[in-house]
Amino acid sequence: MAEISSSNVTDLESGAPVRWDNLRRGLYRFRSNTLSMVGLSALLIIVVIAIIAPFVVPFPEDAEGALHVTERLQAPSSVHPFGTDKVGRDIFSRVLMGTGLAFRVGFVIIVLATTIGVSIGGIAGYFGGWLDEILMRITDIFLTVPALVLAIAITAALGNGITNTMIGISLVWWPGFARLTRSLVLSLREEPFVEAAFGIGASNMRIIFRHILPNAVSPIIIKMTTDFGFAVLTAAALGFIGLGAQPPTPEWGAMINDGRSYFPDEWWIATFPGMAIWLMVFSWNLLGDGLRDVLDPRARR
Amino acid sequence: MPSDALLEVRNLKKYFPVHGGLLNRKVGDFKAVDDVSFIVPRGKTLGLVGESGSGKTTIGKCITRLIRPTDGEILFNGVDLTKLNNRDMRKMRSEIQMIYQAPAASLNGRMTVGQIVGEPLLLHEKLKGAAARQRVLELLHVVGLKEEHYYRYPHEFSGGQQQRIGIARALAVQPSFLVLDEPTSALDVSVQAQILNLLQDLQDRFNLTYLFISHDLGVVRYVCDEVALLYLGKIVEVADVQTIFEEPKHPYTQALISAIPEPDPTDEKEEIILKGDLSLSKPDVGCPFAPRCHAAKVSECDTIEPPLVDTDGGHRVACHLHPEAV
Amino acid sequence: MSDNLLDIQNLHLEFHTYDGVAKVLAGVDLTVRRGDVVGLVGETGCGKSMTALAVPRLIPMPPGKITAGQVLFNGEDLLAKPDDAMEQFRAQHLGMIFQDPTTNLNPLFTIREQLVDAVLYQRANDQRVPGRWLGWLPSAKQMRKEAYDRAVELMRLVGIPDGDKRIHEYPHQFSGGMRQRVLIAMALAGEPDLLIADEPTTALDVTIQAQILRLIKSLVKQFNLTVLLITHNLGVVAKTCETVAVMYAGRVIEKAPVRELFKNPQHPYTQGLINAVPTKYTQRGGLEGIPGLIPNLIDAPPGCRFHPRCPHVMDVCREVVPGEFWIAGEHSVYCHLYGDEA
Repeated sequence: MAEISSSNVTDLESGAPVRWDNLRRGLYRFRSNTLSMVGLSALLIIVVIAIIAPFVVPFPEDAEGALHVTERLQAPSSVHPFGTDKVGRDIFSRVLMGTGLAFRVGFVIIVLATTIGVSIGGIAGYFGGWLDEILMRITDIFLTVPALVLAIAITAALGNGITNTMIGISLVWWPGFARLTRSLVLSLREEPFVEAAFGIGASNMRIIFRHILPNAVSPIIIKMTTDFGFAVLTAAALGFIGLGAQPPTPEWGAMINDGRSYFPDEWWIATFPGMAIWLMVFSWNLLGDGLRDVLDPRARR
Repeated sequence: MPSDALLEVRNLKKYFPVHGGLLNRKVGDFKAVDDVSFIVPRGKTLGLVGESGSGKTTIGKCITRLIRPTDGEILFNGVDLTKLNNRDMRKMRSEIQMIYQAPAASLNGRMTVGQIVGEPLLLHEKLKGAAARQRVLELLHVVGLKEEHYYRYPHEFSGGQQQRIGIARALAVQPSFLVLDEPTSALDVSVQAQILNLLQDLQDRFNLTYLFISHDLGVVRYVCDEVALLYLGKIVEVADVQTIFEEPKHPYTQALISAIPEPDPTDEKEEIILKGDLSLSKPDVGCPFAPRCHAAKVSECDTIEPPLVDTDGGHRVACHLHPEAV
Repeated sequence: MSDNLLDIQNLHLEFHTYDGVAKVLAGVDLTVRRGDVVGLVGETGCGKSMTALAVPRLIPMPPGKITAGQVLFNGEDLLAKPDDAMEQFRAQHLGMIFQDPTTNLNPLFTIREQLVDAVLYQRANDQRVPGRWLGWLPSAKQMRKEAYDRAVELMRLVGIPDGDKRIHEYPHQFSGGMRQRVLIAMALAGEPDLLIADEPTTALDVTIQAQILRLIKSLVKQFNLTVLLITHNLGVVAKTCETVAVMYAGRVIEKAPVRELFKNPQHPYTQGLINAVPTKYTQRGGLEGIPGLIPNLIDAPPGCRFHPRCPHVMDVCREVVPGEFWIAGEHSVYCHLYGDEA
């Protein structure tokens, strides 16, 4: 609809500051989307909780594995809002203390996966030919094995522990970023402005990093955001089957596993960490959708 | 090579492989540019005219080395561009620049006008900071933009202004030769007139040589000194602009000129309506234009491909109806 | 029945955007006489396509909103019609063709399927089909057969050689010009009274453009069609139209028979537009552009919207929207230079 977009051409003669216009427009779209505002607010609250948890939770020592056998398996009460587990630890404290860990896990996985995926996808897409073939076949091999199974295998091979879980998950996570980046680069490579950059004598590296990747950033950030929640979920799944953080670390997946045999009578042991995971995944998803509106409005149409 | 030629293209060919069959093997060639030769005299404008599929843009891309030609020579100031390695070609780019058809798409939306116009300065002269800024502001002034546009982004401009930014970027390295690939076909007429006038001013001011690629004969007539007409990757007629428009010899040229929609309802010139379109694939033998030709045919048309010959004083035509001048 | 098939009166259209309300059409007046070929000319963003889309009511609302005006077709206001009646109306009376013949054909279906569908759709909505009013309809098979025959007939009418064979092909097997012919055939499926052609030749090569324009002209004669031709190309107008309306920034600013308009343009914008097209008489350096930019329609200039770019601007132009002033015969102009105030 040329008529509408042309009316958006800002009046240049007015000299109004228009540099941040795109951002303002995006923020307007973001703000007018209630759900993404909910997601953002929830995440901000979760971040604050993660930071202040060690200082405010009623029983910080429970996160390190203190034992209060006399208080085991207590239902939620004013002293223990989420109840206690089989060794009497306060679940409220443990869930809150686990927030920071969940954030760290998600962050490391996403950053590692993005770094590997964007490099491989970018190189494959830009140079094409046999390099593309080799890199994408490697990517395909990773994609043919179910991600969770592969992550379990890698983690098991590297040995238990939260660090190895993060490495394992990153190693199965990058192919998505590689494919996304490759497809973005493939279409951007044909854009006239890339041709123009070549025409003024820019080097390949300059074209990739100065011209192509900055124009591919938005979809990558959107994917990072929506994937963050799922990365946390996957880490929790590995924790659940005992491959992630080792006891007594307050890792949500491991905590659910703890509560498994007490379900449904002592339902609170598994339920509250489960809700924490759900809230984390859901908030990141809402935020991702909102960001899509801000950064890539065409994708929704 | 005539002494006044800045660019000479000799026997340029660009074939694209055609794949087909079950194994996607190469089954043939698509001859986008097939044995094309022409000269662009220094300080002049050569119009390269043709419809979509004629190969005109491919020629432009071969000259700026956005693609590699299959065969042939491209002599720029006597240097064969096709033989240059990548490093030497990168240096040569300060002499040869291109203006693109889609002004918005040819500018990186994530860079400011200052960065866009300054980039060639950085690449070729290692110019940065205040000195670069000064040069960019001068360039903006030259193309009719203002100082306050320096920090703006391309999407904040209208199509005509975006094209001015593209022109400023091309001029930054002080080239002597510009390939103009349909520079105004995406613009409104009133803006087109501004850009055409700007290009003419710049040509006079900096002694530029243009290769003007276009499908719009009305614009070509206004801008160019010489015109070469392309049909299915071959040149069918070359002459100076006046000759082409007043005494076109090739039937295709005649049809094209008759089809120019003149903004004059009293214009009663007889319109030649061609049969079919380019999808009538090129015959294997004979004149490529023969299936659509409206002129009285001779038997050679379907059997022998007519060579491009000089019919009189530099007016070259590839048509059996117009034999070579003796 | 009056002479005028289409009469657009004082049409106002707004679009609600983040930046504010864009007044895309601000009082468009346009009449199209039966049997006439009317050109609607203007540059990007002048509202010519929006005016054309307002007739079949194809403007998305929201964000669009018609705030005033009438679109009279045979004296009946289309804007007041209920949606289902409008659907029938479109099928019976309107044909439309657009700029890009590629995106308007579905690549997954053959031409036959798409053209037969167009014929059937039109029949299903057409009260004129015999027996329709009695509730009697032929069998589905019979209708398909008839529709197929009609489709082949349409292929012939729009000049596609071997239409009965090529109708079984897919759109990608057709060239751009042939696709546009197919779309014209679809538009003609219902023997429309009015054909709205929005930049029908802009995407085509010049020799193909000549073919399509000639086809449209011959169809006009053959079927007593009325055509509203939207274009930015003054040459196309000069070649094809009998009457011209020039638009600028959401208003019609000059209307005249085609020869009169090119010989004797009155509005400074029309003059500028005509001078901006290079002709065989234009000398090097003799081309004149129109200085300035098209206005932002969210904050459009008051009074005459052309006044910031006008070489003859007067005080009154900055405040008062010029009304219609008659020059001679059917030539009218919306410009204060020709009013009593000047």
